[in-house]
Amino acid sequence: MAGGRQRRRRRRRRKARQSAATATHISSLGDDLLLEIFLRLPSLATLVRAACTCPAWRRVVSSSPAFRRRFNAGLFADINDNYIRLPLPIFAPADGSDVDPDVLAAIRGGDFGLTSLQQEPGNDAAPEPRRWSVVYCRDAGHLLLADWDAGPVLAVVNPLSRRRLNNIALPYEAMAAGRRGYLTFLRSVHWLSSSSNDDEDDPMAFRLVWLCHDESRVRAAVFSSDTWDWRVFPWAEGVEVRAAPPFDEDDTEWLHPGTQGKGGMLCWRVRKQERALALNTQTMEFSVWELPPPCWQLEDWHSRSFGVVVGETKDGEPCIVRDTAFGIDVLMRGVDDDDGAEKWLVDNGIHYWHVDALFDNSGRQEQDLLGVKDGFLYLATAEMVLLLRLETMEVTKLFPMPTGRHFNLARLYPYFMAWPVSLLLVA
Amino acid sequence: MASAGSGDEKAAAAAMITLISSDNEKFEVTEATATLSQTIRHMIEDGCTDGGVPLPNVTSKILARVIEYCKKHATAAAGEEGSSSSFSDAAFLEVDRAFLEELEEFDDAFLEVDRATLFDLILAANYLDIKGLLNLTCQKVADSVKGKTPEQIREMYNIVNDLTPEEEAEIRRETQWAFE
Repeated sequence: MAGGRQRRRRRRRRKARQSAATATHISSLGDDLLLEIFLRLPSLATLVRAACTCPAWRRVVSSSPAFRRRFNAGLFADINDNYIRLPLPIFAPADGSDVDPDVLAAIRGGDFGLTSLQQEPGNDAAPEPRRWSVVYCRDAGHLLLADWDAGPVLAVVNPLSRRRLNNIALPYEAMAAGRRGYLTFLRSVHWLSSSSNDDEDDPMAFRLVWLCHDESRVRAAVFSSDTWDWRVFPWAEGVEVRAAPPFDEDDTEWLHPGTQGKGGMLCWRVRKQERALALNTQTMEFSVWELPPPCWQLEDWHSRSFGVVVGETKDGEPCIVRDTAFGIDVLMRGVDDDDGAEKWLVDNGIHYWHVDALFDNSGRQEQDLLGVKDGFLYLATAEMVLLLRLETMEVTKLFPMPTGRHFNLARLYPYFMAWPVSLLLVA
Repeated sequence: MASAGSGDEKAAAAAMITLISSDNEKFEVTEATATLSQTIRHMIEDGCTDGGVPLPNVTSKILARVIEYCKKHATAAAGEEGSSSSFSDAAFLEVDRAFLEELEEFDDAFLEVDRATLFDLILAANYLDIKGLLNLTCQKVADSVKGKTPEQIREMYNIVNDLTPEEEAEIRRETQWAFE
């Protein structure tokens, strides 16, 4: 074995000598010129790989602290430039107090720098600089990012499996056809795994749902991984979500970003109203949910935007969590004592003044309801990311809000590890 | 020469220098072209260019390429100096941009050579101290290494890896990713 390798190496050496007699070899450049070349490498990673090529190259780098200083100085500007051009989502481990070595291994092995976004699938050339923004991040394993300026187009990446699917173009024009007045595309896309429908067919199969609205109506488009194409549904005529016209031309966004619960239930809060638009993704039927008024409210509370998220309790029952001016309500489906109709009723709630974590020194602070999953509400204040157990209304501090300019402007999404496909396939 | 009037400057620009390659071929170039090389500039300043400048480290094949580069870039330098006053700012910028594009195209085409020639050009640019050419050629080699594993780099440049298996294992322990 070793002998064979040596022979091969000797042969290679002889070959190198032969070509050196007729043509100039890279080794004739000498150390100084080699460093001139290394100085022009784009990153430390490239330099490390080059230096691993042979001992001579490694020595050239390791023996020159002056070169290393020059290399570092050159790199700095470049990294800054990249940062400004392509801001990508940043991941922060959610639970710093409980350090699980396997979770750390998964994070270490995953592509949480989203490097796969820097290269177009099937194309080695450098991609166009794109402005990716997150449009879906939850528990499907995959992350959806959209570049709204180009196409628009969706990128589908899975940081844990380090897989990236082909880009998906959004059916912009088909959606716009037949609109009345202005047209608003929602900046969120929903991923429905086949496993979330308890469909055992193909764990890789998925659907995407995207919504747009004009001045009074909504329509949905559904992408299926089977056909790898969009189906644009007609404008939903019978769904009277908004109050009667005339509509305010300046108010062109009357739906909040959508949230999603178990079994593909999607819900969008109607702005300035105690109503939500719901979509049953099994039947693709829209309905309007009337939500009970909050027990306490401010006079001008309609003008402020408070969060409404749909999710499920620990037992898997659908629920709505609502941020009111004074606290958090949990709504459940129930039968109204007065008229016997089934509707959303306030089941539980918590007042902010009972929760120290929701107050800062200046009094009550704004918070962002990030999502509900398996009976837990994830929410963020300016200082802390918190977990609220819906069953007991107990609040736990998860981790302090990361500081820095990037985070002040950012939206937070919880990302949950998904089941690997290999564990979903029936043997 | 530094104190000479404009008439003398023109004469100086038209003055010819003879460069002699290692295989004794003679090349006549203008002083403006030759002085892109700091090495030759210093020789001219020292007044020791009569009877030609011998360049024992550069073959005629490579010297011809180097002169081609210098000619193009000498006109570029002259064009930049000469045009600044005769155009309005916008027109000047327009001309400037077109010129730079042309120069970039020239550089790209210039670099379409085999690896051995590229190394010869680096050695010549270094010996003659031509900053632009050295930068251009070194960048070309640096670009070729991007995104390649050590094994691919070895193959491309015919480099013998004489690491012992122990040394290699030692390196891999720390930077396994570099090999993947």
